[in-house]
Amino acid sequence: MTTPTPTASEHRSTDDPRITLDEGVGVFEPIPPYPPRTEREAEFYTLGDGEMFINMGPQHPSTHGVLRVVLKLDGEKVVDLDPVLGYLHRGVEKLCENADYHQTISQVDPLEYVSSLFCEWSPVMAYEKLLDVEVPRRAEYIRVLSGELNRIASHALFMGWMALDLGGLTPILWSFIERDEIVEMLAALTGQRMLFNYFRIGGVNGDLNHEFMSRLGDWMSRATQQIESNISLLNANEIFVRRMRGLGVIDTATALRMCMTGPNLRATGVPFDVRRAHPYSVYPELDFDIPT
Amino acid sequence: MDRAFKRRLEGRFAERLTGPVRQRHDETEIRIAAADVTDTLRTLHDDPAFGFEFLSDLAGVDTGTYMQVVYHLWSDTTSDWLRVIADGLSREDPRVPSVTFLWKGAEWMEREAYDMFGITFEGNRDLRRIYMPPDYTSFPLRKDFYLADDSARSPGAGVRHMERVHDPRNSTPGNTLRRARA
Amino acid sequence: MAVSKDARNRAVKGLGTGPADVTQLASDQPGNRPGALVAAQPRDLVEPIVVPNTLWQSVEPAAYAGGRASEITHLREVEASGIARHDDARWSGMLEIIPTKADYVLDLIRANSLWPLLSGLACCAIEMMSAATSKNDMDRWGMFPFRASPRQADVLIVAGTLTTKMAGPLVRLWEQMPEPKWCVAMGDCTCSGGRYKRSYSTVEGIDRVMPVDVYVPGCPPRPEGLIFGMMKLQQLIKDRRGHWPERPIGPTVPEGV
Repeated sequence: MTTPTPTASEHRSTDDPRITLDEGVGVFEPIPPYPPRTEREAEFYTLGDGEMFINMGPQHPSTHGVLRVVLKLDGEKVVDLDPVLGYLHRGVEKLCENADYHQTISQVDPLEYVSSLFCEWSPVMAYEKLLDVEVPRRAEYIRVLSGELNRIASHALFMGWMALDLGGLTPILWSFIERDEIVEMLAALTGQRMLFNYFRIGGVNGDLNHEFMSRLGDWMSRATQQIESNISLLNANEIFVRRMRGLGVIDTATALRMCMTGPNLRATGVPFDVRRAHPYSVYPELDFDIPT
Repeated sequence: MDRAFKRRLEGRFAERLTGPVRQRHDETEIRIAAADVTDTLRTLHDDPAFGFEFLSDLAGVDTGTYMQVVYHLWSDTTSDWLRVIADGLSREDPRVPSVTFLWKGAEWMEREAYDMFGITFEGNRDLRRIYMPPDYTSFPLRKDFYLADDSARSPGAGVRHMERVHDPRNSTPGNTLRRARA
Repeated sequence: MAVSKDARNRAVKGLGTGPADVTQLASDQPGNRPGALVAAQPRDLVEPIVVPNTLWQSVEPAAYAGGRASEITHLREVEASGIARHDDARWSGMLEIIPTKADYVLDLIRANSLWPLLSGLACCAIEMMSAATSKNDMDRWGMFPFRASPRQADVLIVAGTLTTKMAGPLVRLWEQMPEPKWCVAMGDCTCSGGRYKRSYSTVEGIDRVMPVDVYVPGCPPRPEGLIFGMMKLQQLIKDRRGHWPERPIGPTVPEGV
């Protein structure tokens, strides 16, 4: 039985998703790759006097997820670095090519798995613009509510992990208590703790239910105090503050040149928040400040 | 929808636009030729009347007949997102001038477009693969790149499009290369 | 080794060898046979690997398409070897076993202080972290210290999608771990490829590249699910059923998958 040969621009060697150990699993590029393929590589992979390369490999406690960074060190000081991405490239865009619009909503969840509702919101809004679908106000408010809860959960995880990278084991435990509560709330609403698959074109997948509201009310009664205590655990800690203060300062021009967004851009002083600058959903009606 | 913005664009870039300025909801779109990318984006970036300092995304598109590079820009002068489409790149050897001289952050975005489509950005100092392993030979998001599919062997081989076998043998130019709608 | 060259070649070309009409009904519909793992030639007799379900029933009458639970429980080989009988992770059987060897004590020690290697790749890593922190505490079973270095770790919980680029480093991590070591595949992506089964850059299940002891399905599995998987791993260790003693070095994916 003959198997057809793929056409020219198709799978060869490492292209094949069905690889086994014998066939050689993936490529580990030596440092430095020789000959250098681009100008930047030639510049980076030329060692100055007393410099060395250290590979902060894809598996590392503080590269959250998998990120490989090739560091060029001068003693202990990092002089230059070359991040290598792609260790979690799953081909979602290609899988979405053959899917219906609704199927893509669940496919894009894991792109930002810590706060997946925002990752769903973007394509759903795009589809609604294309189809001229108007979303009912109740659904918009549910979207904002669940989205902002997800944002709080994601930032709680971030705060915990940031402290864990510096060596503190307590903040992550506290943050995960908070995150678990919020995530259980969202599980009562959407059915899943993460990767919710909740937004639909024209609304959401299900209305608020009693369990969600009771959990929400329960959490709200102690939310402020919990968040305050988590934050002050870090801010009042002298070691944390002295290690973090003054690090990684970026000015506005550099930030705009690097196409930074989000809290990082706001930290440079630009009061750019998409929810204010280019409001979508019901954000024009909501009143909040933009911290810079 | 910012009508005044549309008029300003038409007034300023009249000779470079290859199609009408389209507006829908809160987005404005202009189409230019690949050779005009440098001038147009520099004007949009530097001219205080436009002031598009914020590049939100740079993406490649394969419409099946030709390739495009799409830039999404934001400015304080207008409430619309601006989409600049560099149109009409050939599918065999797509080349576009790079915008890394304006935005350093575009370097990685162009690496992604190169990795997924094979679009060469002239002037990018670091044009190598970013997602796939460095010795990968194909460009995954092109329309002639097929996914190896095992749905015929699984019990879930269903009737919906995504569950069927997308076998290169069963394809014809009519059902694989999708035409762009004008 | 386990995967024959023929099957691999077929797999490489990415073609199924099922019937020409690819429109098959889903296996969970009543009256359908699952068409999984068909043989090489279309004319060969295709025997399903179904083990009739006499183990459990659903209490919910509307579940499983009208009250009939799924027919597939596990592979026939598992049933034939008899280990399925012990596959319940309940502790009530433990008291009846009288330790007669020092090995048993060693197994207890190993099982109760499994140190995982921090191998969180993607979304399942968040649930793994959630399983390790206060609300669902894995420290109750001694699994809190997530070691950063493979040299100090016992169990590799692969949490998250394995891509072809990451497969090399992950196998290198696995090989760097000293024996005794076990591997837990957490999440759908590591069990079988999951939602990325058709993708060009993922490995369809880590059992293609390393031997796996426990599969924890889910997308992502709840922290309680991961803890159940770890308890099952502990049971495995005590029964010496893991792959480790007579361990195959490489993948354990069955032939033809």
